[in-house]
Amino acid sequence: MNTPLLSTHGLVARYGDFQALYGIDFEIGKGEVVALIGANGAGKSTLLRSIIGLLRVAPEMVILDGRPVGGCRPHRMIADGVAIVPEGRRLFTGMSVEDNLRVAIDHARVTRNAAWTLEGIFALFPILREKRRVPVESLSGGQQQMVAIGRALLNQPRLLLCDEISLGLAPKVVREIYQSIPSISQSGTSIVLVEQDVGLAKSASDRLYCMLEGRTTLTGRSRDISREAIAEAYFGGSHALA
Amino acid sequence: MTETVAINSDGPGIVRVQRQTTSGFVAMALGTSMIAAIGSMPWWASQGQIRDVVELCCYIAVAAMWNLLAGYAGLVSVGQQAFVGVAAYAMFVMAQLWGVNPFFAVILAVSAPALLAIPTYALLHRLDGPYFAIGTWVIAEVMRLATSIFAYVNAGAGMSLRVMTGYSADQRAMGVSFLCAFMLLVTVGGSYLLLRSRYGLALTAVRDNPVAAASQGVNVGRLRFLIWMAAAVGTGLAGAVYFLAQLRITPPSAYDPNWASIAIFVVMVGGLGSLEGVIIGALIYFFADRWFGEYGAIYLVVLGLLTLFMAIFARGGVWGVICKIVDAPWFPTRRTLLEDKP
Amino acid sequence: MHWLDGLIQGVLLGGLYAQYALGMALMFGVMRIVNLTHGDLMILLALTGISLAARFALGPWPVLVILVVLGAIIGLLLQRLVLDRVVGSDPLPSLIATFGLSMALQNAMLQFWSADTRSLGAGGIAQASFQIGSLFVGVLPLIVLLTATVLTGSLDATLRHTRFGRALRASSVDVEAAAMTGVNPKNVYAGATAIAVAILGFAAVFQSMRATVAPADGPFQLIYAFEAVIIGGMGSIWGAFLGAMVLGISQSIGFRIDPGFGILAGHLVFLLVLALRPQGLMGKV
Repeated sequence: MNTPLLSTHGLVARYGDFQALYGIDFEIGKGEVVALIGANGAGKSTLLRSIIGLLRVAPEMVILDGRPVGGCRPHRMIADGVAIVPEGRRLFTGMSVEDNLRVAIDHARVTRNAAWTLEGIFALFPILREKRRVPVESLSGGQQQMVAIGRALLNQPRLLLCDEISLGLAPKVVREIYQSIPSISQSGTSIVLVEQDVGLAKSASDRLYCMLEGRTTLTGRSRDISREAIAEAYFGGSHALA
Repeated sequence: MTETVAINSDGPGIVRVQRQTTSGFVAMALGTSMIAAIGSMPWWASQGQIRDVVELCCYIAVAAMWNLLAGYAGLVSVGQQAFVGVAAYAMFVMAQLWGVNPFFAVILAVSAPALLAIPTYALLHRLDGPYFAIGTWVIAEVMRLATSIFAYVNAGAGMSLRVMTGYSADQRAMGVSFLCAFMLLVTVGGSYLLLRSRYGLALTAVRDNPVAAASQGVNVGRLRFLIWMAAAVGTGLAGAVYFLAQLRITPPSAYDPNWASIAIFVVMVGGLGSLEGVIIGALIYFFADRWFGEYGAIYLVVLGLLTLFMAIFARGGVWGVICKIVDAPWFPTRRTLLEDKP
Repeated sequence: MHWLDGLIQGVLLGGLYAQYALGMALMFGVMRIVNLTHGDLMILLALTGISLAARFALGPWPVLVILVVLGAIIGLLLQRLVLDRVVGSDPLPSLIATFGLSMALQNAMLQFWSADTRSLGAGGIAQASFQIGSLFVGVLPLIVLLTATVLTGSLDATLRHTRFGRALRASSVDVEAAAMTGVNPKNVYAGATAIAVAILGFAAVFQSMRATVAPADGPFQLIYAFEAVIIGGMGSIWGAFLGAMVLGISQSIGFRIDPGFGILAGHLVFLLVLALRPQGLMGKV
């Protein structure tokens, strides 16, 4: 593989006295879809938060286009082409769907000939066109997730980080949202999917990383990895399923 | 002083809880003798010294009450002068207009701030944080303006405590000194007992995380109201004692926003959320006022900037800095688990 | 006529209060940042303007331009040097920090300008008035009211329809999420505080033309602005305007009942709103 779009090298992160990540080596190439799986508290969200700049890490721990960017503030990372669909959606309540999306347009990486437009988002998620004037908090969970994804896309990312986009949604809605992944990826955007549902993660991704207690325990091509190997990496050796 | 409590059935069985420390015993002994010394001032101190000590004690009392509010109940008030003023006026009315013994009137007068605390809390509890703070200020302004047009208390012209001429200087000194010692006992001693009681644990929990405390069965609203009420009474007592020594009261002096400034300065510089900080802060303020007060406005500019500096760089105040160096609390409120070695 | 006159004077007074309240509505109502120096900064700008006018023989309008620019700079510095360091989930540090700064500012002004009350010469406009029926309406108070209306409309439109406004609303809801959408919250907050204090530049000029200012007046203006924002409803810019009108009318009518009752009437109406409609007149539940 050529130089990856983004990579982390021995990434260490802590919340105060609590160390959450113990030297993560991770990489993603252009146009790739990489899944990040692991139990609650394994450090998946922490890894995303470190990449996007919400947690302070050393510069050389995160490399984007061969440049050290660790510890850059989130708005710098957005300007450099990394966008995030945050855990729990984190929409701007009290503002309309369109205004939520416009905040992203206002602060997009590129403004001319942008890959994603408001129309493009409405084509991807038609329901949002109907609801564009409505305050976001009155939307259903699935619709809110669509706004969160649309908002991240309108930042015109080269790399999209998705943190648990299926959490708390009905299976039908999850399917609907995951159907949008290939069309996002076709536009050349790389995607990191943090996902609890291993089957979903495996089928939607090219490669996957499994995390356990702040370390990566398994990595490889999604279609080559057996369920047994995942189970062992997911729960740790001693709990491996027979 | 250790208690033996069964904590856990499958653990070592019984654990001892340590609640007192050596430094605490020393401080307790010193504190008790201080209060005795203050109560007996007429036998050893001059009139001027008594006046100074009364003033210092009033600062300590008002600040100790503000510390309870801001440091434990999460209620930041910048309108404590409402309680100072209303209690002082109640004392003047009882003593001067109703003929109650003025020293006894000081004690009775705390019913006025207690009464005021009920409607003010009912109105203000909906406002959180900073909104609450400015709300308390509005209440104090309302009290000041209303008193200024209330003819019964001589409106804006204020009142004099002429009944005090019926007592000799010695009698007055004795009364004021005794009330002063009583006030310290109630405010500082009362805070200490409260923080050591099971309410103290609940208060610490509320301060650290009100939502989590509520989910653990602490009635946060009721606890806050009780603290608001207690602080109103304690602050009012200080107001009544202060103006008993002043002999004269006017609406601007009774409802002087400076009371809130002093409380905030004392607690923030001394150390929020600790009784030690209140005493250190009050001493710093008292001596700074004596030594630098003559510089007037410039001195207050420095005081203001110092408060700003503490808020930005040293949230724990002077006591916080001391605690980092040596762990010797004067008022230990912690519970320390001691494991018995078999 | 007596009461109608009171009502009209109240609305005109409300125009001045609206100018105090707008910056407060932006910082307190929208950004949820507490700034106890709000009133003192207005007084600082007013005294600076009066001194500049006297020293360089300036008319009120050049002074207005200078004070608005100066206000923006002061706001920027205030946010960067003080508020950025203390604003967080715990409101106490920002409250205490601005409390200390307010005390320092008031006393520094007292030292520099003394306790005297001062005002800005407004020329003929201060006395000019016209008659409607048997009522007299001052030209200057009317200009103040119109300015307040235009400022309110502009600020409201800025928040609703501009890039800056959306970024500010987003940051106020969830500062971390806004950052993850590409907003630089520090710049947005610095801009908002600059706007809030710049608006005080208008208030400073009109206050010192209509009435007088003294170094110790700040806390009163702070309370009026706070009351207007709460009466109107947190987060609503037009609400603050409405709240300022309610406050102005209450004071004016109260003053006609008894001169000592004017300001008290304003406070009592505020407490009444707090008791009966705590979310404010235009606030959402």
